[in-house]
Amino acid sequence: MEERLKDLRKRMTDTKAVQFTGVHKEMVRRKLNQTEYEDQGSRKIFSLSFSALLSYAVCFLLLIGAGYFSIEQAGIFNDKTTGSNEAYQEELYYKISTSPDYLDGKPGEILDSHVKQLAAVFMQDLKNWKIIDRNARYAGFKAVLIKGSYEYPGDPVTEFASWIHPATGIPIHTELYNKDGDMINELNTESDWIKEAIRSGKKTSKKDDLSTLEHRLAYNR
Amino acid sequence: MEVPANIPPNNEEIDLSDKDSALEHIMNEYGESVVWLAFNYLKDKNKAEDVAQDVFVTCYTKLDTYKGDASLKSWILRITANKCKDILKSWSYKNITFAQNILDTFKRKEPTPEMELMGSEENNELAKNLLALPVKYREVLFLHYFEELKIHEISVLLKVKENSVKTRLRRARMLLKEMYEGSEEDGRKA
Repeated sequence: MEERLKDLRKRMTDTKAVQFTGVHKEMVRRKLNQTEYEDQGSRKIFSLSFSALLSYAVCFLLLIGAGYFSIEQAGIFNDKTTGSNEAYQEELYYKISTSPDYLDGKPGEILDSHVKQLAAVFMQDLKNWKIIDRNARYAGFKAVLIKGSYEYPGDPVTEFASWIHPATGIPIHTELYNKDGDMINELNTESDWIKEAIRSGKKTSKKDDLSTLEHRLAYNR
Repeated sequence: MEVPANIPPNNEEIDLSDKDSALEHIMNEYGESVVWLAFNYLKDKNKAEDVAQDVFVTCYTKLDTYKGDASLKSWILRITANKCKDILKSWSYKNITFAQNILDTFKRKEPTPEMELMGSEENNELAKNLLALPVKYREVLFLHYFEELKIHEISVLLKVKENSVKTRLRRARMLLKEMYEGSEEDGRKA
């Protein structure tokens, strides 16, 4: 058998059963050129697609930015009740500070005193209090319920809660608690003329700008 | 398809950085080996030629991965063997072969390899007998006697133990011998 298998290459190729000729080599070269061309084509298509995609993405971002800017400028989302808590806290604080302007010329000592305590003592540091319920009610009025902590040497008050009319900033009712959680004092502004001021919602003085607020706070300090 | 790497190197010196020249060299040097190895596996002239072309395309594209720590010839033969085995394992190939066998049965015709032999009667008979062997015997026989690879090289190329290669070679020779004896007996009876 070894003898038969000797020179197997010569014997097999003699049969010419299969050959690898110049034609086949040319086919290989063509396949490679085709592959290279297809690769280049793919790269070109990818490059074009990428550029197009990048352009679309930039346009999209510009549109989003322009849209957002327009919306912001138009004030569509300026409803503060849906804004961030911090922003609403600031606005509420401002409203409380300027709420005596709704007094309509009537004696406002009670409210002034209430506001002074609340705005200047308890609420000045926004970190010391938080909004608990934006849709609360007190004495038949819409109210925002806030709660906070307070610390001052010798002062028994450690916590406070207040119901504030959201549109006017008038504090309707405030409760003060000691460290045991007992209510030790309360401030009420539920007089008829204050109810009327809340109902009318009209300011009588022009003291509602920031400079007035700063002046008021400086005075309170 | 797996591209081999752990085959002992030989002393071939080809500038592989010039891929086009390397390809020409590879095709000239190993074209015959590749197409015959493919034919040995697939027993189909057209398929063998297609595989050979694919092998050289693969060699060209994967030439960067050839580190030179393996024999270039073995690397190429391994690529060929792997491609052919993939085809033999493929569902479509088995399906076509199965369909062809059914067709042959209806035609009352013996299934024969797709080949036209133009050599001497003795060489044609040898080719037919060799291709009639099971694939695991004819591959070792081909690599040992056609490519003149050593047992160790075949073992690395086919990823089988050297003893297995030796056993397969022995059985392949025995089977081939039986084929010849059978045909001689048939001749005497006739």
